[in-house]
Amino acid sequence: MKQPRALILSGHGLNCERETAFAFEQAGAQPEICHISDLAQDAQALDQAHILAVPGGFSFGDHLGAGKAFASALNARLDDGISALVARGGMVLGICNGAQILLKTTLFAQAGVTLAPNAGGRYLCQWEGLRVTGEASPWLTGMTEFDCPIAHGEGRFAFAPGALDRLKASGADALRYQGGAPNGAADDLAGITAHEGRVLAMMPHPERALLPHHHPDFHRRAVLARREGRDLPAFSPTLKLFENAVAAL
Amino acid sequence: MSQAWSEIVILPIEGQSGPGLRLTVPALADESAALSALGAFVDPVTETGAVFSHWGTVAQVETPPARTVLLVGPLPGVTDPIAKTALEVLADLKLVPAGAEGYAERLVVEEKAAGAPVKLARLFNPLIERGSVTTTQALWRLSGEEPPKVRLTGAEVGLVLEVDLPDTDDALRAFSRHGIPGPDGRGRGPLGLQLSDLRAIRQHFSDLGRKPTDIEIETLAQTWSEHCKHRLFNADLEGAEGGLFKTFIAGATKKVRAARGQDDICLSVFSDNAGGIVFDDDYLVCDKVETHNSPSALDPYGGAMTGVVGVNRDCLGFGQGAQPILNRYGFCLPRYDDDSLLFRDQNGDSPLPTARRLIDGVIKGIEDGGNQSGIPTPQGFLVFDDRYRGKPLVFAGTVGLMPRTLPDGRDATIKGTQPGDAIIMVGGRVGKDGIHGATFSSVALDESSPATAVQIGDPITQKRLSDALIFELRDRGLIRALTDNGAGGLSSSIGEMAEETGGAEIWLDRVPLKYPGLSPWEIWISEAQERMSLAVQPENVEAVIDHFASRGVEATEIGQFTDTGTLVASWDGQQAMALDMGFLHEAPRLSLPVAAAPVAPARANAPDLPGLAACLTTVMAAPNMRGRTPLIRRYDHEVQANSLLKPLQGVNALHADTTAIRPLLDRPGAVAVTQSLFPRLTERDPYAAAVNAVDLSLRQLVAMGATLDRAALLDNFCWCSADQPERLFQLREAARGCHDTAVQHLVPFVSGKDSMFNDFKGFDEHGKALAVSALPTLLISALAVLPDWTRAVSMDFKAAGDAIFWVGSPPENALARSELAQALALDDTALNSPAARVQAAYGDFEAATGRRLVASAIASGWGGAGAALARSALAGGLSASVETGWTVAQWFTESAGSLLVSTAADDAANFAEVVPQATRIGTVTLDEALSMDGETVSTAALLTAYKSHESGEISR
Repeated sequence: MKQPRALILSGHGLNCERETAFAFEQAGAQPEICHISDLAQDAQALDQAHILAVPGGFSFGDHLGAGKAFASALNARLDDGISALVARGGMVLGICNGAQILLKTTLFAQAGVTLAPNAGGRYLCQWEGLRVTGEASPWLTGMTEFDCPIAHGEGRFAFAPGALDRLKASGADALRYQGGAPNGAADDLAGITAHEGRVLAMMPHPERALLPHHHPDFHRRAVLARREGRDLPAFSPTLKLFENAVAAL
Repeated sequence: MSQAWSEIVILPIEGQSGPGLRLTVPALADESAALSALGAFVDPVTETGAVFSHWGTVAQVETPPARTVLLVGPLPGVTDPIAKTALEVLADLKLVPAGAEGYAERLVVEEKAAGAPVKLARLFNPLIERGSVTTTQALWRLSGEEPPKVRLTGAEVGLVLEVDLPDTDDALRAFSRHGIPGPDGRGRGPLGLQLSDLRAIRQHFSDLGRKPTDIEIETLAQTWSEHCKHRLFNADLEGAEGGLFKTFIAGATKKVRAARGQDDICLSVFSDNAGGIVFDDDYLVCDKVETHNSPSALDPYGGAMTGVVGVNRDCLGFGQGAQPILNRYGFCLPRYDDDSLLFRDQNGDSPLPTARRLIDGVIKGIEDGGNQSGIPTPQGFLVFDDRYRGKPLVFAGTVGLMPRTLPDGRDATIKGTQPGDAIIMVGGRVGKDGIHGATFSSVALDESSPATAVQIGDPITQKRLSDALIFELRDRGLIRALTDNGAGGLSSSIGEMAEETGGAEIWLDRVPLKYPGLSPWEIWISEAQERMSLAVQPENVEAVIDHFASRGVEATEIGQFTDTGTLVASWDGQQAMALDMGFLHEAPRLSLPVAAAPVAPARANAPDLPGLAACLTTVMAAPNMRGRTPLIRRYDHEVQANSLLKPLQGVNALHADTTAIRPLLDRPGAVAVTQSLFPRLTERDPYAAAVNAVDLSLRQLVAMGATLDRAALLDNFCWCSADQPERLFQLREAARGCHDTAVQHLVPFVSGKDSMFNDFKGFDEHGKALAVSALPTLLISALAVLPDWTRAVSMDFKAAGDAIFWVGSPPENALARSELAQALALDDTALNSPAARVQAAYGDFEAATGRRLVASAIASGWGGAGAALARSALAGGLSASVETGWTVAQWFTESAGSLLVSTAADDAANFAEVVPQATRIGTVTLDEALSMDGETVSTAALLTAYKSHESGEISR
């Protein structure tokens, strides 16, 4: 597809919609930011979308537990539209608060998984190395390892009894922290998938790792590259995650 | 049994440690409604829940495991964001009516079986919350408790009172201190007015032939307060006739702008909620740094949080509304292990927070305020000193981004309110919270300080307001002007906006309230959070109100702007206030004496110092120098994907002095921000402290690649007992130092905020009276625009073999008030003379960064050259070998004017040519120890010293 439409939700404290739209735009998609209240009034944008992204943020202040209130609004108003998007081969991405929200929608119903408060009891903003695991997700085609920042207080994947084994057996254990989970997540999980990998819920923020200067090692790399007469690439390898979505459609 | 309410209880299941909740909500209709509610609220993997109603119970488990539970809920009338969200969800599911009220209580569930007593006092703040101990079994049934409600009754509710101003000066002073007497004779809280103010007010109303109303007095008190009008900073002083602000701050800016001429970067200075400078041809950036010291002293968490969201509103209220793109913070705090107990009263009934609760609270307040608002918080500092035990200093700043011209062609820095425009209040509702905040922060903290001055923030309400304003409404041209409702509430925001048209009329009975029963004067001055005031053309009022409603934000038309020359307020059709605008905005000028403070002479001989290695290890482990990684990682500094120069730098992630962002990823520009302060030096030499602070801030910008022709300064004077002649002398000298250094570097001041009475007067645990004054503290914040982000340089050494340079004169032998002197308890050693050292090297260094000759750079600041070298080496995971011929003291003198720089070996000759003030002092190595003038210092030991307390005092 030449330029698929990427619908990015906003409102009620989500706050990463603009940089997420930028990432999809650089990957060749046509992004559209839509406030959930507008979408609830008129779901046309969802019906026409090929990609749905629920970005990071602090929807409803995480007041009832991360993602619950926003997920309730999605389930009440847009459940059919989202199911239809998945059914017609669309791609769905939830990042951080977006992942917390997606896990409480019907997309992950019966998965027996949630995102609980970090084991250390603290919000954590730091860079992590990630490893692609599980069965190939179209979001992660051709990717093996990449770096992203995390920024969350409730990012610990936790499972009902037996659910982790079922998840692994289905190959939905898509992303792991290379150096061990900083938040105590079960099995070092950083992201999981549903619906044959077309739905990806991940705690790290790929849209904050898009350009070389986003990376914490950038300034050293830039100095050394200049000495060697090399140019750094225009984008980080993480761009591929967004390009994969465009390619999968 | 109450039929009106259902109780929803959510508990962590066995083995999960999360919090629980009890929600009291309007009665759910039936079992199906209860199941829907549980479906929305309970996470089946980690939680279990139940709904208890008069018609029966729907519970996911029959009985929960027996545990002790601490039940904590907001006091009546205190913002209850959890209940607000819960009721929005239930209303969205059509289970309760829209706009219904309820109550939310946090459950802190003991992880082990019941028995251990819960330490109540540490887990909630009695000023804003109530707490009780119960059990899971007791919670697993309908309690029948109704949500607590504010019931305001009393003789004065809903009345406008006429005020008799006393005749004698003593009685006027008492009137100012205790406030307007209510019907019970007790004062309503401090007015903070000067004697000369009250005389002028008495004369004004005597001339009018009528008595003032209570609203009129309160309005004048808010508007003329130190907090709002900066009376001391504008007073006539010897050596600064016309006032410190006009002479030294605005005076410096005027000179700088004139000297810069065509290249002046200022677009809006001192006249708005923030100061604005050029970003590029299409955008500007604005900056503002606020202090929130008094609220933080009483309620550290709420005070710091409302500090952040408050200064965010300064940004939103700048010009036609700027998008917050970066938060900064700063803390001046007591030591974490300071176990002293302080009380506001002699009987020990009104304790100040302990040092631990203070520190934990302010850190968490900045975290929640910034993170929940989606604004990155990369930039900050921490300073520990015992003298911040009574009043801590909490700084919060926000950088904003705004187009210079709106789509309809209006200059976005211009407000443009017109007579006839409607006044719309948007955001949260008004309650008793935050009453007398502005006047309270203008006086010392003591027994009479009003607890209602404490405010609780609700960042999500403000985020909704912010998104609607900045991303949806601003560019549609529907709003003519806007401003923040901060200190002084409506009285201040409407009063300021009305200056543009020359009057306003407000219908106080239309202001939406959190609960009924507020008196008109309270509505007018309440500082209840998350509110802004807008000026909207009458034909656009409906569209604006409707748009906010679609975003879950309440907007209400509460009056109109006029050109009558009078600020009028009505209540139920009766006039409650009619203040002449000219009188309102012309507070009588103060004229105050200054007297030089005595300074102990420096001792003649240099002290005996330990060796270089011991000194460096000591300095790197000092509380103000060591690592703070856990704190930095609690503040989201990656959101908005604008990170360019991070708060933690190099392979070992050392904290940096300066950070930078790239706010628009499709444009080349970047913004660098930094801060500096020398509060210990202020007591000794306030002029030198100010010169040092301005110079260090600018040098830190230059070090990261910025150029001073696109830099700007902000000042925050946080003084103590500032009406005393000696303190005013220090204040004047500090302001003079700001002026001289800003003019020398041709960098303008663009914004500032001061706080003059950071004094605590109270009692110790034995009821003995004591006073603790904060160090007179000048915080200098600076920002710079880089036209090309690729100029940015980080502080870490990059590769072995790189050349190390010292830029500037060699450091002096002058340790006074330095980190080393503090750590070794040396005092009154020789003082450095920063003014003489501020050299013209910066322009040459700017040229070197422009030619990409610089691999790393760090300004020599706190901890001197020794700390600068160690920080660059440790950050890079490298070492260094240097020869300087300096004494040990020279290595740690906090001299102005110097940078420590590394370049590629191949670039060294070029660099030395471009920067003639540079001296090659050594080479970056792969060794395991720094070699400094023949002494070796293990880098592993230094890193251990630096990280020694990281997981300690500031991470809890």
